[in-house]
Amino acid sequence: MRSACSKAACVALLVSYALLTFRYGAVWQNELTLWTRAANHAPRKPRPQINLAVALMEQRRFDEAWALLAIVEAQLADDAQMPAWDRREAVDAIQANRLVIARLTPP
Amino acid sequence: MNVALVFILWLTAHSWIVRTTQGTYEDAIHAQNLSGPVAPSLMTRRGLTNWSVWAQFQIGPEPWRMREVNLILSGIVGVLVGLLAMQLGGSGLMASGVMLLHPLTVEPIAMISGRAELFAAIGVVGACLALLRLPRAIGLLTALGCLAFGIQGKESAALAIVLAPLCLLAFPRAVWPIRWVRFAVALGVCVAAVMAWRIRGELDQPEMLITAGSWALHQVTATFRLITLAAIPLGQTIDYDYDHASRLMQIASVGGVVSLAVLVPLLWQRWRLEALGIAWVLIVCAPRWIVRSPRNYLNEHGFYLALVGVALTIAAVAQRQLAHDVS
Repeated sequence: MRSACSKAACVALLVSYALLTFRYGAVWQNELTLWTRAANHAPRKPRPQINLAVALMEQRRFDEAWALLAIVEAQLADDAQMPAWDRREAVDAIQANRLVIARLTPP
Repeated sequence: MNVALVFILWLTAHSWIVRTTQGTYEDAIHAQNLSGPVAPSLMTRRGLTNWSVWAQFQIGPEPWRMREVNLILSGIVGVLVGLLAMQLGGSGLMASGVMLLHPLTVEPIAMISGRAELFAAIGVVGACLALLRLPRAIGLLTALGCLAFGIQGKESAALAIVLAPLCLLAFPRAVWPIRWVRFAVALGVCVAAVMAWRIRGELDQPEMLITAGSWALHQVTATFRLITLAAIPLGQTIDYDYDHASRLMQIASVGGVVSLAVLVPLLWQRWRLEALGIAWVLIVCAPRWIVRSPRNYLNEHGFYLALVGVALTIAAVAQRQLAHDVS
């Protein structure tokens, strides 16, 4: 009886791993699903937010991307904890992506 | 539970990844780097990984092809870890199951550069198995071959020089005198420490603006979070925000890692394989506490080799429980 319980626990553990892996695998379908999750998990980190903005741009959702870049820019101004290398790269990426949006959207 | 069930679960669990037709951010980077003729500079470091990705890119750059190969490599790792666990007295099926089905294996399979982790794991586990199973001379030569193979995948495979002798120290064989094994472990630790220090020197840049202490604190926090994720795999993400981790979380992480380190000698006598598994995790993660790579804290695919230690620990607990029930 105890042996059966132990075996059942082992099976349950592996099946739960498999289910969670299946669920997390869906996140890797495309850029949008991947970076939406990353941005939700790290709302104050610029890289996931900027990569989410790029994913939105690829889907031609320029308004949402522009708004997201504005939020990240505002966060950069307030955040003293952010490492210098992250800040520098974030500022460059925001500027570059805004230029792309400006080029691709009609005036 | 049998091999067929684990195999079916493995293919089902990763079906999203290999079905995906769109690439993610890394595929575009590799497409830029690998569309032309091969650059010699690309091949000097992680040569095996770069060559394999480049060669495959020439055949067809579709993301799912890359991921299928990564999935097959992860299958090889799963089998090798199962054999290693059986050799050390644990449940081979549980060890394989953890390495094949755990959610922390998604990132190394889904990311193209995750292939480096898979090659490194094959090299390290292969080296351990060679020393534990084969006759002395053949075993040593095979282990050195596996070490070279793994390092060409990723430099973290160099940790085999600590991990393989440690396996022999935990489970001695008559063909390897224990004095030699102890000496090999000490030598391996020294060589690994020197290598980590040299890589640290190469990567350090003045503009990083982070002190060694602060870096170590962030990395220990990352390590403990990943160990927690290995136990309870909920909340994985490609880019966790360690810069904004609270001081409480950092202190708890240091406490957690120190507690695990203390557990190793306490468990060593009675629960040898569990102790070896915990030591494996800490040994794999420790170099990252001193090697500073800008903007790159220890992440989920970087934890893949450490997951072998988790698999060994779970395999040991499962085997002990099943044997206890039968007796």
